[in-house]
Amino acid sequence: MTPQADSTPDEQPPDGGGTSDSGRSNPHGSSGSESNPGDAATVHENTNYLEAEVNILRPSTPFMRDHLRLIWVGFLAWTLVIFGPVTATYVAPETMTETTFLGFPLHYFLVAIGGPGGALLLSVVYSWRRDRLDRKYGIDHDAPAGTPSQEASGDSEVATDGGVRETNVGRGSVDNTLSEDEPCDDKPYNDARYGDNGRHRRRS
Amino acid sequence: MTIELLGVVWLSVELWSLSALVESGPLQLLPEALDSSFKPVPALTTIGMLVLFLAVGYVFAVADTDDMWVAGRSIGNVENGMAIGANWMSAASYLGMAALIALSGFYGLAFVVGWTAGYFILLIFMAAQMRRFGKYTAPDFVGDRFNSDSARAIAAITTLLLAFVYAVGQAVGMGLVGMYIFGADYTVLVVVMMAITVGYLALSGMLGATKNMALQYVILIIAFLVGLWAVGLAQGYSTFVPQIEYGALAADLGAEFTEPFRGDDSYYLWVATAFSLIVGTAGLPHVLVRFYTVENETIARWSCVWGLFFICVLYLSAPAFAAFGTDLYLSEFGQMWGEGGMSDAEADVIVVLAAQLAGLPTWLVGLVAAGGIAAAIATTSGLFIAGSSAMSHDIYTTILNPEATQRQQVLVGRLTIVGLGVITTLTALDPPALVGELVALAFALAGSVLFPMFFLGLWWENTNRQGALAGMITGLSIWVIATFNSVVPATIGFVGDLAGENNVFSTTLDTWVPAIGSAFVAVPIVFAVTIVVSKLTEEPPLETKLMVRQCHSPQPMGKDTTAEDVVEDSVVTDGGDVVLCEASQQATDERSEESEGPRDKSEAHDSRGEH
Repeated sequence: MTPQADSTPDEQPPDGGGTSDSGRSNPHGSSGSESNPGDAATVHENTNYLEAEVNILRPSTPFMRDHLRLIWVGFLAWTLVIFGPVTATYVAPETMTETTFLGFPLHYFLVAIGGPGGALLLSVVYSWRRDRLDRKYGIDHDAPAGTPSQEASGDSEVATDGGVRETNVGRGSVDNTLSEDEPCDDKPYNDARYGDNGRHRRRS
Repeated sequence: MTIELLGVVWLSVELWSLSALVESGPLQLLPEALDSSFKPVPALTTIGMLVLFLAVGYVFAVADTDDMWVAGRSIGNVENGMAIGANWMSAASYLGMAALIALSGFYGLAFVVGWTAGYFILLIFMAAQMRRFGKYTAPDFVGDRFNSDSARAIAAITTLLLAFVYAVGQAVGMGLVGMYIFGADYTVLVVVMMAITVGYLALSGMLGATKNMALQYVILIIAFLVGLWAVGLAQGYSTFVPQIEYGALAADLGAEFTEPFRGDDSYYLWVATAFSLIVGTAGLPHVLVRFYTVENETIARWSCVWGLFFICVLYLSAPAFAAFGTDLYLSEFGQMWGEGGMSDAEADVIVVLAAQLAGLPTWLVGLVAAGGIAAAIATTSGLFIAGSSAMSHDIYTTILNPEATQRQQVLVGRLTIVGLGVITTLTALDPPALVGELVALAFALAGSVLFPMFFLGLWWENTNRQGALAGMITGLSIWVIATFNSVVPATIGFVGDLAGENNVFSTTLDTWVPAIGSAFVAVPIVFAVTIVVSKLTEEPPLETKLMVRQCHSPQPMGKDTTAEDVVEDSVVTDGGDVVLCEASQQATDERSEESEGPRDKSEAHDSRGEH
């Protein structure tokens, strides 16, 4: 497809490509991606997303490549579902209006029911495939702060220092459970990015 | 104190405009076939609904700006989906959609398709990224992404303009449907209904409105579906799935109902209209703000899917309602299309009219009518919130008075709501087009100006301030020219005289850049202008690029974190000495001290205050 961005030296193109291919060809989608989550997840952990250029025409990380493939396939299907029937009606009005389906003239059915219904169906498929992509890369949105790297770097000590209590007072009791982790939410992220360097700095 | 004062001001303005109109003998919209008289049970149903909305609004009433704008960012999939649905199911969907399908046939389906298909584009290209960006309003996004207060101002003005055009359609719908229930003048009803909407909004912030909107969705969809089922059963059109069963009827109704591309409604116009509505959907501020209210991007995506589902329930039913209404009207009056057929005002109430002509009991027709009013109020409240936050947050606080206190912001926000209410009311008294067409104009505006900025801003990091400004001005100009050419002459008498026969200045322009589908032409031009200007000028600063990258990173983000926070933190870390957690801890402390609210979700707010 497109050349690898220079800024992500850690990732290995064959790995990323291979993983996505196996995920695609495996009929049991989720189990397929779970059987080799290591590859994608490793690539993911070694990718610094803040150094990867964002350009819809030039995906620069394996994740972005996979995501954009999903997006473009979805977009193509959507274009056909939404503008296909009306174009067909323009090109071949007689065939489209004289054929009937469930009592409807075909063109009417495909537009009035096929359009909204198709968009909804595609939305479900996209969101489901997108969630699968998260799993493939070992990403869990339900536990934003509870990743292993956090505990490993001793964040909990830092998080329970005096500052947090003050914050809790400001926030009211509703958020107590969350707020302990919250100030450090992006930490696992930074750990991954800066590796030992970042960790070292925090310790010092 | 302030609220009472505003109430008095509002009331006197309304009374003044009312008396002025009664004296001058205003033009009256009158759907003649509609049984317009005061009916106690439907009136009680409507009042009951409104009291319920106000009560819920009262319970959640807040004075704190952070709660007012994004409802604590704590809303789940289905609930947020319902709020999206209720926001969407305006008078244009509930009433106007069936009207367009009944009067315009196959062309009307461009609206069904355009207003649903857009959610897919929103979902795959924007919903999650917007959530990660984490800004309150569309102007916030544009201003922060392109580092420009001018861009923010243009987006804010566009938001205000949108709220106004869109709300006019709602006010017309409320007034027309109100006639069935209250039997009063159209003028009186528009004024009273808008007063109720504005009064409600002045009291409750968005937390109230959000809870409310899920409730409004439920009430709305029940009213619509019960009405549809009852009409289908009573007349023997359908049994359980009228959404599918109207097929044979539609085919029998005659060429006008199903024939593609009849009259002026060309293939080009169909595609342009649908395209315009699609990009408009993806650029509409009051839709996007819903994605800021959820906890994380997964929920943003799934609530978009749920929102589309809830919208589809209505949009698959509306054509059935239109078919039933058309058939009933034909058998009652003999003629549907053209001179002597159904008038615009009658078409806009066809949902209620169908229920009435089918001989349903008054309370049931009243329920359908009350649903129409609820639809209009739900949408108007969402629009006015977006408009008032654009004013208080983006124009007043950011540009005019950076030192503004929360009290001042709330006051400006409320004054904007009142102001919007007044001009909307006045314009709605003599509306220039069908409800659905008015709303479509707003979509063309959102699609031409805001959609390209969101799309390029999120998907191409090199889009810069100069490109955005040039693009937005281009989009705004195209929309203004198209609207001035095609819509304004029919609305304002002396402009119409200047324009000549067909009430358009240029027929060619009207054919290729129709006001309702102007985004079809505008979007490619705005994209091109934005890209070329961005390429010719300096690249945006690194922080901006980092924010864009953060929007696309698959890394989970904290509940109240914005892309900006993450980027700031990373810059701090890079700097060396400062320990990351302390830095972000400090930021959090500052934030909670400043807002002193029960929750802390004002990152966008405070970072603006700091710089």
